This record gives sequence, C-alpha cells and structure tokens, in this order.
Amino acid sequence: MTVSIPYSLVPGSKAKAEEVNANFVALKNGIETLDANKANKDFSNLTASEIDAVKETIGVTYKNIGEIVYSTIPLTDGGLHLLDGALIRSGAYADFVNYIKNIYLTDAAPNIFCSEEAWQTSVNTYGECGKFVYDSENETVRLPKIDGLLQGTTDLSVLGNLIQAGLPSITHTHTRGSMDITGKFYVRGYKTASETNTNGSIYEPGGAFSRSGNSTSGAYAVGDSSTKYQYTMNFKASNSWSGSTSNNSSVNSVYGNSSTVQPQTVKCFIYIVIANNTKTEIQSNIDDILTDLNAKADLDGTNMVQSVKHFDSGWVKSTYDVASSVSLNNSSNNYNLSSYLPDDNYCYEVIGSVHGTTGSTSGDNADIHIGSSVVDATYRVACAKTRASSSVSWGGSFVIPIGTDRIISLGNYSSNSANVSNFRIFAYKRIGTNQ
Amino acid sequence: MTYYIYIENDAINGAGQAVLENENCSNIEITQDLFNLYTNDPDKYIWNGSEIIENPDYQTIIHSREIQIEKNQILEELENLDKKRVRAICENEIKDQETGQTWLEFYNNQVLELRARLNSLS
Repeated sequence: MTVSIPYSLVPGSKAKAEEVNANFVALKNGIETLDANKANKDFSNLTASEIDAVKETIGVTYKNIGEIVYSTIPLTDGGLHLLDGALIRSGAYADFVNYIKNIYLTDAAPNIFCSEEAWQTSVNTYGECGKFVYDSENETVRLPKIDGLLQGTTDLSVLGNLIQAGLPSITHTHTRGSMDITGKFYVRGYKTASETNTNGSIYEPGGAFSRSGNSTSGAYAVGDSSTKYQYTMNFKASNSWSGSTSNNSSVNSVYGNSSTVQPQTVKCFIYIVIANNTKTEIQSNIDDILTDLNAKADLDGTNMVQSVKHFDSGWVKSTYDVASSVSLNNSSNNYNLSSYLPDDNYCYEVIGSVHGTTGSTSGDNADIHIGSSVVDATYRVACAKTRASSSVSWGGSFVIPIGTDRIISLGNYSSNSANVSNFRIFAYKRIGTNQ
Repeated sequence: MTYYIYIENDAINGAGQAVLENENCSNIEITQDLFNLYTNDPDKYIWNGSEIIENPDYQTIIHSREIQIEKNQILEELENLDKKRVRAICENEIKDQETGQTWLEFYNNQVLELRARLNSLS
C-alpha cells in the first residue's frame, strides 16, 4: 500500500502550517486504512512474492490425507509414508486411521479394502497389492504395497485393483514372398513302328526331383526288348528351397529385454500422506504422555488395573489356576496357557508353584516335573516318598520360559500315584520371540 | 474367566483354567462356582458319562474319611506308646506302689485298648 503525501517540503524553504498538517492527515488516513485491513485479515494487497515469503516463513505445505507423493529422493516428512504395506496404528496418525475408518464404516468405497489374507496372497503372488486392510479391533490400517506403475481411472469400483501385465492376441498372415521351389527332369524315349507303347527313360532329374533305384520287374522296355528299367522319382522341397518368406526388419530391438510388458521408466518412491498436521499431533501426544507421566510421578500405581500391574522389569502380576486336584501316576499333562498369556508371537517366562500329596500307600512316591517346549525337557520341582501308610506333602516353585505354543507340562515320573492339590502361576514376563 | 473340569478315562481328574491338551482327555467348561466347590472337595462330584453330577456316595466317603482320620490318630498314639514302652523296659520302674503296676504294664493296657478300637474301625 502506498500513501501519497500532498505536499513536498523543500529543505531550507519555509514550510506552511496547512501543508504540514495536510501531509500528517494523509499519513494518518493511510495508517488507519492499513490497520482496518489487518483487522479484517485482508491481505489482498500483498504481492505474490510477499505471500510466498509468508508461506516459507510459517512452513505451510498442506496436503490432503491419502494424497500420493512421488519423489526421486527419500523424504523425511513425518506426514508421509512409503506405500510399502506397513501397518499404521492410530495415535500420531489418528487422522489418517479415522479417515480410512470412516470410509470403511460408511461403505463409501468398499472396493479399496480387502482382507489381510487376500492382501498377503496378492503380495506373495504379484509382489504388490493396491488395497487397504482395516482392522477395526486393533484400529490399524495396512497400507497398499505398490512398486509398479499407477494407472488413472474414473471408476470408484476399481480403485486399487491390480491389472496384470498382458498383450493382445497375435494374428499373423504370411505371404509366399520371394520363396520358390523348383525342379525338373527329362523323359527320353522312342516308339518303333511295330510297338504299340512308347518306350523311354528318366533323364537328368534336378532341383527338387531326384531319381533312385531301378527295377526290371514290370517295367516297360527301354531300348531293345531285352532290357527293362523302372525308376523311382523323388520330390524333396528342401533340395531347391531358396529365397526368403518374409522381411524381419519390423521386429523391435526391445523384444526379450523384459520378462513382461515394461515401458521405459524411472524408479522413484511413492508416498502416501498419512498426516497433514503431524507436528501438532505429535506435540499433542507428547503432551498426553507428559500428563500421564506426571500422574505417575509418585510411582503410586494404584490407578493401574490388574492386567497391567507391572512390578519389576516387565513382570505382570496375574494369578492363574492352571489345574487343581489332579492325580498323576507315571504320567504328564500338557496344559495350554493361551487364555492366560498375551495372544502374540512372543515367548514368556512364568512364575508359579505346585504342591500336593503322595498316595497314602507306604512307599508311594511323588516325583514332580515341570517342562515346556522352550526348555525342551522337564525338570524336577518336588519329590517326596512315604514311609508309612499315610500321605506325605510335597511342593515346589518354578520360573520357566513358555514357548509360542503356550504349553506347560506337569508330570509325575514315579510309578506311584501323586495328587496335585494346586498348580498355579502368579506372574508372567515377555522374554522374546525365539525359542 | 473360563474354567474346565478334565475328564480322563471316563472319570474326573482335576479342574483348572488351562485347557488340558492330552490325547483322550476332554475339557468340560464349568462355572467358577463349580470350580471352587470341586477344588474344595474333589470327591463331591463325579462324571456319569455325560455330565458332572454330585456323587451319590459322597456321605459314605465322608464317613470313610472320618474313620481314616481316627485310625491315623490311633496309629500315631500307638507310635508314641511304643517309644514309652521301650523306655519302660529299659528303666523297669514301678508306677503304682499300692498295686505294684509297672510303667510297662500301664502302657500295655493303653495299647490293648487302642488296638481294640482300631480293630473295631476296620
């Protein structure tokens, strides 16, 4: 905005009061107009370069959720994610997950989704899948995996469809061109005045024709009546085939360069926008975390629920009656802890105890062992033997790793009866994925 | 929470929260109340081939247990009396000067009474 001053005052000249006042009034009006524009957020008077400068200053790079961004260099923007089939969880990307969730729940574009199984099958078969997988239970979205070409469409129902490579059927018309097959032979003969039939012989077969063998049996006489010959005439095209059948100059030099249809391309990363105000969301999450940490600052933990009550380096307190009142006689039982341990692919350690009595016959023996697939064996946790006709108590405790099969075995390896009063687990801790 | 009673060889063999994965064993889902009742006294319930029912012989079992408890008490007392009788033989002292009864005779009388009671329980 330009403010025009009505009078230009010259140094050394005497200024008139009304001219000075007029200049101040003009300046005052200009300032008031500028203030009014600012109050109304009217930046229409900003030039394009000024607008760009403002954008650069405040870092505006707004993009829509779900937009595709191509780049020949890796991008580190937290709002972008490669279309590599990754699993996106809510939290910092709640906007994206909710956006996909809304499409899923409203059935606005059902064909952009497929099941996890179908997604994996497509990737295993074709190396990519253009569909999303939405998991409503865990609030996750699996991104498409795309490392090929993208093709436009105006049909909502085919979004994300994978079109396999293909070529039209080939039809071919072939002309003889200059190809020629030639051959010739002569028949020489004569006919006497006294003979009814003409006598002759095959002479100088050539080209595709050839002569073989001879026979006097059943042949007409050649020359005088004492000699008779019969020849076999052969035809073989390759003896004379010459010229060419077509012109192969139309065959493209790129044939055979690829195992499938492949135009010339340049490789680049394909990103999808999964957050367009990531910094704000992450800052919000940090604020939430700080709030939670502040609430836990006194390490009270009383507001924690039982299932998440960790009491030492990942141990989770949770009591579980594996089995009670079980009789074992030189036998073992396999118990499945799937309903106790988390449903994942990790191994866990468990703390537990087992106690009971021997049989009541003199000499009854309890030889109690615990085992799992991780230790690949069993180890003794208790042993007791009676000396009289009454039961003897036994008991022991254990810490044992449990594999992903979640099986814990309890056995009595003596040939006498033992009774298990209680077989309990009190806590578990994740220890890794490998057995 | 899910609880099970384990059926093995057509009879109950324990209960718990874990699924028993042995071959030829069945896991019968039960309530937590039944689990608590069963683990409190496993003899109270039986498997009749199709369901878990209260054991019709439960009172007999209770009676047998009481007898067994009394037997065990008698056997324990006899054990203690045997020690006392060994000491009585070694020391050979008169318990009652008026009757002339020794400690060994005194303990022997008690043993006879306990054995008679033990035999009556059998």
